[in-house]
Order: sequence, then structure tokens, then C-alpha cells
Amino acid sequence: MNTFLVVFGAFMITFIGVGIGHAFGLYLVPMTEYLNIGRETFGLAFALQVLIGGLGASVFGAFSDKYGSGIAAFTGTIFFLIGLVWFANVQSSFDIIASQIIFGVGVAGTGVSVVLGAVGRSAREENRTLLLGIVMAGGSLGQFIVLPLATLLLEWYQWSTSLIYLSIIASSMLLFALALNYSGKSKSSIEGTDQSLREALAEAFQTKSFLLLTAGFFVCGFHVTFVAVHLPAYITDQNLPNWVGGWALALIGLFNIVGTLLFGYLGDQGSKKNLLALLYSLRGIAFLLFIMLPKTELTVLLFASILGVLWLSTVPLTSGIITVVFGPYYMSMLFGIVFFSHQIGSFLGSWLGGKFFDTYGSYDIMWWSCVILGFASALIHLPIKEMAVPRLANKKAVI
Amino acid sequence: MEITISLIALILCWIWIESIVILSTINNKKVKRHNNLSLNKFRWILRIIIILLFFLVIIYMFYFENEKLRNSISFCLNIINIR
Repeated sequence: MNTFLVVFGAFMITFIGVGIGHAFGLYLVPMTEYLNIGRETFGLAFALQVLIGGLGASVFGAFSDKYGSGIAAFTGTIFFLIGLVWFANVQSSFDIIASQIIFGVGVAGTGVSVVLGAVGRSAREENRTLLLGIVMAGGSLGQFIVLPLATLLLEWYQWSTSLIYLSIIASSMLLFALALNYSGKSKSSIEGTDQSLREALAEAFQTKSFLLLTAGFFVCGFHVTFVAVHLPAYITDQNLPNWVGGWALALIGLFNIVGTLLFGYLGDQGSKKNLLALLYSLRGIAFLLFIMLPKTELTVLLFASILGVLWLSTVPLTSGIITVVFGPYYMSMLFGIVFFSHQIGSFLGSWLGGKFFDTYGSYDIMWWSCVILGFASALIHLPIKEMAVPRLANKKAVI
Repeated sequence: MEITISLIALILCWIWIESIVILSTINNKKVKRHNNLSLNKFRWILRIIIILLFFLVIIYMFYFENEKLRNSISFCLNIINIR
């Protein structure tokens, strides 16, 4: 029952948090028109939000490991709400930037490092990766449901009123955050640890597998954000009909849900690092075929579907490996560090895509970078040792 | 036209997913753990999710490209709100 409550709370927080986070793009035009400012301020505010969200993930992760996931998610939700309500009442460029920074702190507190940490601690080993996959599928479903809902709200009400309605929906996360408190009743939380936070960090950075996992996850962020930001524009450049862009993103969303569940399930059946190596190789092959094949409606949609399966399937497997190697106690903090590398990849994927396009007039360099990075990441994952560090192995041997 | 091409893409991707499941199962036979959810059951859940989500995508895309439908939903919801 406790595990169910934790998974349900984590699913709902991810569902609402990710959904609302992805709806902000809809407010770019009405807000910039209302304030009579350029789009650069908006872009800068979002970049800062992503960066703060990535940086804060490990801080909130450590907070969650120390004081409980429920308290961390509750605090994160309060920042999330302050940022959202401030964003609904902006009167200047400063307000946009400051509200997005506060919102970024909220994203870190309600983000994957905290919720996956709670699930990782509560789940039994044989079902852990599947449950992590279910929570991640909640994020994809959130984009599916909250995005059209935000569009409807924007059509019916003023942009500021629609944001207040989103804040009301977001306030339900306070309740779901309480459900995460049940992770404190899990076996690993009750057992506790004699390792300090500093020792846990030192152990992680001295472990080669952790560094390889962090490097590999950078590629995930690079791929995902480059495609999400630049694919619609690329499709338009190829003179394909307008509907292809919308359908491509919808199919990515659909198969993302399927992919996270599928790889979550498979991760419980066998080697997670081999599955990650397979997943990144398949991404490399998909990008390569996409470059080689003629760009028709079918090839673009097929590429989008296959990429959707491989989209965020890396998350349950990566977080699952962290739990196997270091145990579940400091999982939130350690996954937060790995997640920061993902966010740096995201930043570079988005920025370099635009930079190379402006310089060379095409995305060719970026597509080839995606192929090379995909195969490189597959190779990086192969030497990872999917086994407990000596500290945990010795503990088990004593027991 | 959009739905037909998307459906073909979906079916091809579905076949690809099924082959991944089969290949992974063969590869992991030796280390298979006793999970609450059998592979067969999981595959059926996944199939049902794909079909349901595809219908959701069709409604979603149709809704966003159809002004008439958008107005009717808005109208219906307003009636519900008034009551």
C-alpha cells in the first residue's frame, strides 16, 4: 500500500509538473505583446529556468535524502506556485526573469530527482525499474493532457487568468507531495545509512561507472532537446506539409509513454546498462537512417515514432543503475547530479542547433553529431559495472 | 491522409517494438527474475495502451485542426458551467 501511494503521488506530481512546465511556450506571444518587449527576455528567462532546474535537482535531491521526499516535494511545490502566480502577474522584464528563476527552483523540487528517489527507495528490487518507468510515463501523459488544456484556457480567458487556473491545478501537488512521505517507511529508509552526504558524494565521484553514466546521460539531453526544438522547423525546411510537424511531435509523445514503460519493464528482467547501450545504438541508427533516407511524410513520422520509443526510456534505466550501484538511500542526490549533465546536454542541443543553422544554413552538422554521440554513448555504457559498490557488498555479506 | 500515413508509421513502429521485446527476452533468458507481471500480460497491456493513445492522438489532432469542433466543445462546456 505504501509503495502504491508513493508511486501514485510521484506519477501525479510528474504529470502536473511536466505538463505545466511544457505549456509556457504558449504564453510567449500574448505576454510579449502585453509587455511590448522582444522575445529575447522570454528566451533568457526559460534558459535560466532550465539551468536552475538542473542545478537545483541535486540540491533538492540531497534535501530529499536527508529530510524526506515528501518535505522536499512540498517545498518545491511552494516555489512552483510562487513562480507561477508571479508569472501570471508580470508587469516588466524583471518579473518574467525573476518568476522563472523561482519557478526553476520549484521544478527542481518537484522534479525527477526527488520523485524518482522516493520511488527508488519504496519499490522492491524486482519491480523498481518498471515503477520508475510508470512515473516517467506520467510526465509524457502530462504533456498530452495539460498542453491542450492550457490552450483551451488561453482561448477562453486572458493569459493571466489562465495561468491562475493552472496554479490552482498545480496546488494539488501539495497533496500528492504528502504521499511521497510514505517512502520514509520503506525498508531502506528505516535501515538508514552510516554514510554521510559528503562521503556519498566522494564515493560516487571515485566510482568510474557513475562518471560514465553521467557522461552518457549528457547525450540523452542533447538528442531530446535538439529534436524537440528544431524538428518542426526542419520539417518545414524540407517543404513537407504543415501537419507533419504536429503529428511528428504527437507520435513522439505517444511512443514516449510506451517506451518508458517498455524499457522500465525490460530493465527489471536483465542488464540495464546493456539495454542503455542498445538504446543509444538504436538512436544512432535511427538518426543515420533519417539522414540517408528521403524525407517523406512516412519516413518523418516513422523516425518520430521510433525516436519516441527511445525518448526518455533512458531515465528509468539510468536511475535504476544508480540504485543498484549505490543503494537507494542517496539516490535523489546522485540522480540529481547525473540529471544536471542531461540539462547541460539539453542546453547545448538547443543552442548549437540554432547556432549551426544560422552559420551554415542547415542542420547537417547537428544530425551527424547526434549519430556520433549516439554510438559514443552506447560505447560509454558498456564498461559500466552494474553491481553494488564494495561498501554495500560488504554490508550484504555481513548480513 | 494524415491518419493513414500516421497509422502506417504506428504499425511499422509497433512491429519494431515487438521485435525488440522478443530479442530482449531471448537475450535475458538466463537472468530472468520472477516478476509479478508476466511478459505476455505486459505485452497485452502495452498493445492496449498503444491503441488507446493512438485514438487520443487522433482526437487531439482533429480537435486542434477543426474550428467547428473546438467551438462546439466550448459551447457545451459553457452550458455545463451555467448549470
